[in-house]
Amino acid sequence: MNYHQAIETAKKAGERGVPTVCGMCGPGGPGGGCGIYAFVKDGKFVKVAGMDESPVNRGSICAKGHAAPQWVYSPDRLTHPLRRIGKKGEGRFEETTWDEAIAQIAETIKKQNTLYGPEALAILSPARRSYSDYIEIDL
Amino acid sequence: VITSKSIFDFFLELAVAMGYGEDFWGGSIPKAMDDQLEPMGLTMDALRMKPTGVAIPPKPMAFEKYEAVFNRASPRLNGEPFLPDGKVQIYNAAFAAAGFNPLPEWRAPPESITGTPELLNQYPLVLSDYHTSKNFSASWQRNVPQLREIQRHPVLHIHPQAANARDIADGDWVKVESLHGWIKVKAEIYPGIRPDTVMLLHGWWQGCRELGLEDYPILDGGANVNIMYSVDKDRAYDPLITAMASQTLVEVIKIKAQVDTQ
Repeated sequence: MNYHQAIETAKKAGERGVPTVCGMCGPGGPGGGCGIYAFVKDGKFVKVAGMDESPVNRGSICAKGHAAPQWVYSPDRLTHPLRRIGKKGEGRFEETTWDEAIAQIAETIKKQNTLYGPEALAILSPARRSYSDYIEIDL
Repeated sequence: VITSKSIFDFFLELAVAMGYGEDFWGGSIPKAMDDQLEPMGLTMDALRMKPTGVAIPPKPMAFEKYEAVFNRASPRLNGEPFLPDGKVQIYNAAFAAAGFNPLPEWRAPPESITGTPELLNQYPLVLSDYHTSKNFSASWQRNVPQLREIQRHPVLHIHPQAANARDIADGDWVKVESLHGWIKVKAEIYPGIRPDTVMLLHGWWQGCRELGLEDYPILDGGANVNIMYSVDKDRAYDPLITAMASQTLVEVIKIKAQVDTQ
């Protein structure tokens, strides 16, 4: 549907129509996926429609896009940062706050940097760059 | 109360906490977005005034620009072009310098019809897997009920001839067994595959609570195709890029109905 239809549809159902980008697959997500209208009722994301104006999908949307609200509200989803309190693999965690989590991660990485050097940490991300590039630095 | 945070927020805040705030827009997402939009002459505020976005036409296509492309700085840390001589190399000098064969070389997978014919009595079919589907992204989203209803169970594509020879009908549960492990999936009679080959979608492990489907076992008896392959470090991997030979030999056996209650 187009912008006007999205606004009209939302108004009739007592919802808010939010133009945005679908995040359900790799090519999607912030940075260039399918254009969608997300509909919000009483603060809850309830359904999705394809955005006619988007040159990527021209109004169509796939099964994954339609299922987005179930993904957002999945009972499997982690809703708080969790800190491991048992041994690795034991599966025991406790809720913590973002401030505490970020402070603890930063402190741990800084300590590892001091003890073992910056190569102690590698992050896999599609920068079209291989691990060997990082390993070569020190050779 | 859900306190989920966007992954961009997380990394920016972590960078600030590490003392790299200056390189990470002081932790500000709007500033990071403005910075990314700047080459297009836009800001986030200006973009928000266009609720359905702005379509920027692509630049006109340039052809036969080999020299520029081959000599362009690569995203590697040293920035050197991927093609050091400004040419596509069939004889790859970089491989040779690193001690590898500079020419393409065929290596048999750990198990195959021609490489290990002695296994064919026990395991006569080739197994491989694919990674793209209409309903799921890679190996996740099996727990989303609307998607799982479209494809409830993992299926093995098997040619009608191979299925008939094993008394397997469409929708039967089957045991697929290799030298390394076994999985339990449903047969889908599929004329578009070679009679000596079977394939399935990878990435099955998650259950779906809403539909009452339990997680699969990660090892034998589940649907995790990775356990079917050899992990012999000398034979199962490409020595340069460590890609795995996702191929082996298997037998497919119908599981009788009474066993199929799980």
